[in-house]
Parts: sequence; C-alpha cells; structure tokens
Amino acid sequence: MADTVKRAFRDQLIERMTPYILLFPAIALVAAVLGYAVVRGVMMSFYQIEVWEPGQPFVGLRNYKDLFGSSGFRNSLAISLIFVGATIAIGLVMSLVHALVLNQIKFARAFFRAIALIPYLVSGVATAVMWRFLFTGDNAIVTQISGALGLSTVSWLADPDKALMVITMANVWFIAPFATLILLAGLQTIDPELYAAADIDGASGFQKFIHITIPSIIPMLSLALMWLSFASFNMFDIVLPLTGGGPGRSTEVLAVYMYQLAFRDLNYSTGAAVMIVILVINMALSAVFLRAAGRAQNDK
Amino acid sequence: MASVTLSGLKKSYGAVEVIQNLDLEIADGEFVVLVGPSGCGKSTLLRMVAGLERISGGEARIDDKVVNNVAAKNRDIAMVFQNYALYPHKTVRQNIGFSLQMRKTPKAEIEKRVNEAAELLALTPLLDRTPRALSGGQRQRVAMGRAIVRDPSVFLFDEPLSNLDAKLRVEMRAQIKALHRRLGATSIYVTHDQVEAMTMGDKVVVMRDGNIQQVGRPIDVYDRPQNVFVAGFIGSPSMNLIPAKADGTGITISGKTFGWNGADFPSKLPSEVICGIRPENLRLGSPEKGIEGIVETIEPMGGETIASVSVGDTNLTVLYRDRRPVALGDKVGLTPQTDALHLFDAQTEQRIS
Amino acid sequence: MTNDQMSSPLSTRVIAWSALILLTIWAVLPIVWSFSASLKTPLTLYSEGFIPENPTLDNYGRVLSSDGFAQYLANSLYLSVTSTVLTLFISVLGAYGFARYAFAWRHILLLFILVPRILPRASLIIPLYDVIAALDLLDTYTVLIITYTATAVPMATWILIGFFQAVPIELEEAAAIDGASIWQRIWKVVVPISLPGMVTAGILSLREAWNEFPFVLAFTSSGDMRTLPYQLYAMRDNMGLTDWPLINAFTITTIIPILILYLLFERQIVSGLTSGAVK
Repeated sequence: MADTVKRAFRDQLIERMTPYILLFPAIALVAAVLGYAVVRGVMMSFYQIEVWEPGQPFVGLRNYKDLFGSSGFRNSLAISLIFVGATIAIGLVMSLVHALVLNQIKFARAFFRAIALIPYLVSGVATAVMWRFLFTGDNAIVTQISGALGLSTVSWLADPDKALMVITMANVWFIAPFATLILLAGLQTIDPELYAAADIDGASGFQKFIHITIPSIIPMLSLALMWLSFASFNMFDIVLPLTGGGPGRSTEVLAVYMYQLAFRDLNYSTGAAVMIVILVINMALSAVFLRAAGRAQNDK
Repeated sequence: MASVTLSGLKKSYGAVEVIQNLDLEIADGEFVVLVGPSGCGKSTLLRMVAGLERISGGEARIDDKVVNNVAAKNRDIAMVFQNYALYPHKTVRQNIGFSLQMRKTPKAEIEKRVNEAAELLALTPLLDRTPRALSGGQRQRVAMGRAIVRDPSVFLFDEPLSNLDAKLRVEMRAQIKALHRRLGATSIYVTHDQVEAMTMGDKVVVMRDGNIQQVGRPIDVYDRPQNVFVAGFIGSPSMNLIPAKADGTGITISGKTFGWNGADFPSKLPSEVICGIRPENLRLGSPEKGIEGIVETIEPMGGETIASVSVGDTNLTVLYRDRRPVALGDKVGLTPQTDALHLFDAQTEQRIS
Repeated sequence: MTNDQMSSPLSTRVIAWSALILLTIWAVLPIVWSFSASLKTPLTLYSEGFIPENPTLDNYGRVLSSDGFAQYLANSLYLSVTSTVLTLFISVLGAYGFARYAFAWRHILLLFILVPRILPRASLIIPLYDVIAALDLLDTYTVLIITYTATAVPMATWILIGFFQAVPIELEEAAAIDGASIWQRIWKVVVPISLPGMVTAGILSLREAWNEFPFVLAFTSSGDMRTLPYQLYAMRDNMGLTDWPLINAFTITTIIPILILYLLFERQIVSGLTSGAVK
C-alpha cells in the first residue's frame, strides 16, 4: 500500500512538471542566445565600449545622439528605406501575380510551384555571387545587353543608383518566393463557391478579384508583407558579398552599416545602437501588420 | 477481474460542476451501461475511471485500491474509444501488441497473445494491414482486440459503436456481448443510445446533469422508471407524459375520466400528477369513447405503426400492430390501459408507488 | 474544381500563362546562367550563349580538388546535421509542450516565434561576440552549433505545433492506457504520425545551417573552420582576376545538395510550410 502511494505521488509529480520540462530546452536555448543578445545589445548601446581600452563608462543616450548625427547612419537609413520599400512594392506584386497564376492553372501546377520556391533554398551568399556574375565587369551579360540596346556600357555595379537597383532585384529574387508560398496558401483556402456565386451575380474577373480574392487573403497578405519587410530590413547575406556596400556607400543598408561599424571600425556600442534601431523599426512594423491582420480576422 | 467503487465522486471545471457527489458500485464481472443525453457527464465519469480526467473530489476504487492519483497506465484498464484511436502508422498487429510492448512483454508472448486476440475477433487475415486500409467495422474490432489482448481487470467503452452504420451496430452489439460472456471481465460502457443500454447492460445507469437518475436492470428501469426524466428517456418511441388529475376512483386526462378497473394504486395521491403511458398501452377507438384527438402523422413501419395524435396542445404517440383504416385528419379517441400507467408527482417529478 | 467546369476565357489564360512563364524564367535564370557558365572555360565564358558548345566538367573537378574543399564540405555537413538533429529534438519537446499544455501561453509563444524573425541575424553577432570570446568558444564547432540551433528552433517548433495539434488526443489517451509514458507517447505515437512535419522542419533547419553566413563569418577566423558559404564569399572576395567558371561551379555545388533534398520532399515541405503559415 505504501508503495502504491509513493508511485501515485510520483505519477502526480511527473504529470505536473511535464509541461515545464518539455518547454525548458527550447525556451532556455532561445532565451540564452537570442534573449541574451537583445538585452546585452540594449545595455551595450548605453555604454562606451572600446576594444583596447579598459573601463566601460555609462554614456546614456550619447551613442544614439552620435548615431543620428552621423551622415553615415542617415545615409544607411535612407538607403534601407528605399531598399525595403522597393522590395516590398515589387516583391508583393510579383508574388501576388505568381500565386494567382499558380492557383489558376491546372496543367503542371506542382511542377511550376516547385520551381517557384527554388530561390528560397539558395544561400544568400550564392545568390549574391550569381547576381554579381550577371552584372559585374564589361562582359557581364546585362552589361552586354544594355550595350547592344545602345545604353550605357558601364557595369551596373559601378553606378551607385544602378547598384542599389541590383541589390533590390537580387533581394526580391531571393525573398519573394516565400511570400508567393504564403499567398498561395491563402488563395487555396478560398471557397470556389464564392466565385461561382459572384459569377451568377454578374461580377467581372476584376470585380471578383477586388471583392472576393483580396478580402479573403488579407491575413496572408499581411503575413507576406511582414516577411518581405523583416527579411529586407535584416538583409545582410546578399548585400555584403554582392556590393560590400559600394560603390562608395550607395548600397550600405543598415545591417551592413552595423556590421562595418562594429567589426571594421570596432565601434561596438554604436553598432549595438544600430541593432536596437532596426529592432525597434521591426517591432513597430510587426505591431502594425499584426493589428491589420487581427482586424481582418475579426471582420470575418 | 475487479470491482469498481465510486463514492462521493466530484468533477468540476472551475466553478462548473459536471459530476456532483456520485456513488456507484460495480460488481466484479458486471457489464454496466452508463446512458444519458449528451452533456450528462457519462463520458467524463468514464474518463475519470480511466485516469484521463483528474478527480476533483471523492474516491474511485478499483478492487480495494484507491486510484484517484494513479496514472492511467498503472490502473490495469483497457479502453475502446469512439473513433477507435488506432495508431495510423502501425499495422493491426502492432496496434494490438502496443500495450504489451510498452509493458516489456517478451516478443514470443506478444506474438502469441496478439494471434489469439486476432483469432477471437476474426482479424487474422488483416494483421499486416494499416488501419487506413480497414473498414469501419474492422477498425472497431481492432480497437476491441487492443483492449482484450492485455486481459485487463476493467474494460471501458466510450460510445464505441456510434461511428458505425445501423446494421453493423446491431452485429457488433451482439459480438461485444458475446465477448463479455466469454471473458467475464468487468465492463463499463458509455452510450447515448438507450437501445444499446437496454440490450447490452446487466445493469443500466441513467444519468442527467452529472447525477445518477436511476440504477437497475434494464427491464426494471423500463418497467418502473423512478422519475419523469427516466420515463421519457428509456423506451422508443418515448413514453407519453401528460398532466392529469387522479383520485381513488380513477384518473382524468384531458377532461376524460378512466376508472382504475382493478389496477391497484396508492390511496394517497397528490391532486396534480403526471401520467406516463407507453405508446403501446394506448388504444385507438372512436372519438366518443376516449381522449379525443386528431391524427396528425402516421408512420407505418411494416410490423407496427406509429401514429401521432394531437390532443389539445400536446401530442400523444400511439403504437399499434394491426392494420387499421386510420387516415390523417381522422377524429379518434384514445383509451389508456389503466393497469400499465406510470404516475409521477407533478411537483417532484418522482414516481408515485 | 473539376475540369468539366467552364474554363476561363482564352485571353485570361494567355495572360496567365505568359505571366507564369516570365516568373518561372525569372526564378531560374540566375541559376541556369550560373550553371551554364560553370560548364565553360574562361575563354568561352562570354562568347557563348546559354548552351555551351563544348561543355566541360573541369571546373567541378577543380572545385572538388581545390585546397581545403573537403574540409569546408565536411564542416558544412557536420554543422548542418548536428544542429538539425539537435533542433528537431528540442523542437519536438517544445512543440509538444506548447501544443498540448501551454496554449494559455499564446503570448509567450508569439514572442518566441516573432522575436527571432525580427532580429537581424547579423546584429546578434555584436552582443554575442565578446561573450563567446570570453568563454573561449571562438573558432569552435560548439558555438556554431549552439547559435544555429537557437535560431532554427523557433521556426521548427512553429511548424511542428501545427502538426502535433492535428494528432487526435484520443490516440495519446489510448497510448497512455496502453501503458506508454509521456516520453514514449511523444516519440512512438506523435512523432511518427507527424512525419511530414518532421521532414519539413528538418529540411528547413538543414537549409538554415547549410546556408548560414554571418555567424560563421564573425565567430570563426581560422581557415579550417570555414563552411561552404564562407569559402564562396572568400573566393569572390580575394581573386584579382575573377575565375568565374570556377566560382560558378562552386556556387552550383553548394546549391545541389539542398536542391535534391527539396525536390525529393517538395510536396511535404510546401504543405508543411503552408499549414504553418495559414494558422
């Protein structure tokens, strides 16, 4: 009898502890690496940390003040905004069109869908190298084509404006496929009867798109927007190998600026401040998108 | 084999009490059916016995052992689920043998017992298929096999036949009964279907809102329902329940009085009663002779016919076996067999006897 | 929808197919051009079109026999496989915990999933760098495995939660009555049923580790620790006169393994990703 009681007690204890034991490794690991990094990043941005000098005086908001006063940061912020804005605009249209046609066709749909996602599998570095090959040097294919069309024969990556275009296109190529997948998932949840009903009500193709398709996929649209904007704001893997931020500083997006600040200029504190700025922008964006998605869900 | 004793059992989710102070005694080897409408707490009760729901108060015992805090796997029970809960990635053989494997039974022994169980349930040719490739009835039998292979002290069934079609259900009912006769294991069977309860149980427990309404042999529950709820729930088509006035001389229903005609009824009757009449105990006749009403629907079932007759603002159901020329809209008179009436106190809804 | 239904007008279909073909070309063009270049020699690199006149595998031979390639490949493989196995193990437990017990903790879950997404990976290296240096973990597999796993766990957990929730609770109850402990329930019942989810989560973690760049760039300095992406970056960086056929062959070599895995499990991955995304 005592044995039974002991066993019952042990059963109970295990049962009560189970959720915590299960969740512990995942939460502890993520907290120890990512959570720690955020907290430490915030702290670092309030101190003056010099690599070769002892002592780390508290400087309050001075790093931020320096940051917003520096032309390099303002340049990067502007470039990032253009880069992200253009990626979202182009990427969203392309992925929406891609998802719509993939949803529309019946022939070889699985084949085309499989191809659509391929760029998502390629590493950022490989993407950068392939795009560099398309544009770099006098003989690069794009330079040749533009020459043949009677346009400039200067390598696009040597021209500040065009270089920004190139990293934006490479970025769209790299991250839009995942947005396509998200939107396709949304499109597939729409009940075909809705379209049948709209046909009977006399709606045109465009009216169906406006009144059925778009409202039905608003949560997915907002997810896709979130993906496109975070992935672009954080983009580092493509830009560093593709242009290194150049020519000049014409493609130095925030993530690259931050990296150069910390690891080339060894200015950790200001680098950390950039990290926090990116984080705050992303948090604000996610709040907006989540609210939009939530509202769309509530309307249903 | 084991007995199951529940005393003062309680279950609450927050402030909501779904089982209130419930006592029940199940003898060794007995086949007990818990029946009641959905939400009456019968499944919760079963799951508390199984160890799948925590017991909020009171005591559950299997034999002499209090099992309140014993994990399901240590209670020596087996359970058949409503949707069978077969592991889709395992073959029939692996499904049936899983519990033995978990208990580290030697391989040869598992093999032997799985084969025996399969033999018993005619599953031998299906042993290497996966559940996906089986029909509903076959899946049901696999679920049974999984339960019997372990030779547990208590079998629990949670509406095991409700996903089968009508014909198969009748067949499986008989199979489960036969299996019980053969194995003689204590069984608790939950269903919302009172026909299953009547045909299968050694003992029927009628539940409502977390309370036991009546416990007894099926035929006793049918013949002497303890209250209005049980009277209406057990039996198909259901018993007619009509407000009436009764005294020593007879009973007055809808303005018509019928003498007791020798049926013995208690001398002390409350003035307001509810009169229960089973449809087969109502006679159809000419309007002037009985309770007057108009035939509203007729459902010929072949052997018998069920008619619904509107009387005032209620409807009475009549069941008759002869072919009568009754047509919709006919005016008829209904005569109750006074010796087969059930009387309930209109206030307490309890049986008067 | 059946094929018998009225199909859309011809003009719509022409537009749709044109768009699809353009987008498909867009998706494969850089890879095809790179692949084509990898089969050429430096002399024929720009003079020939998409289909080389005398295709050669020489460049792949040069990649495979180049200095340190075997080491970089081994590093990439080792890091990807270990971090994926670890990620799956931790994510299975976490996802089960969230799916079955902790749904009241939705806000924590959201934070757990969202924060890693909005944190720029490259930014993590700044606050982590000197801690890792202080722990003497620079230039070790350990630090890469830990950071790869930590960044892959949230996504894998997210995917698995969806699959675990779809496993009927009765199956687990049946297993509990059959005598399975919670550990056995997870690994012998829930995980085998959720195999498509495991495949999706596994391949995505593998992809993440295989393609990873900022961590290996910041946390390693010795040549022996380089992974394939790092070496690719180094190659494009330090060659005076760029040997494009070689670099393209290297690029294609890094893409092929993950591409093969993807094509083998495309159906599971797409449905795994979309079922995670829809929720």
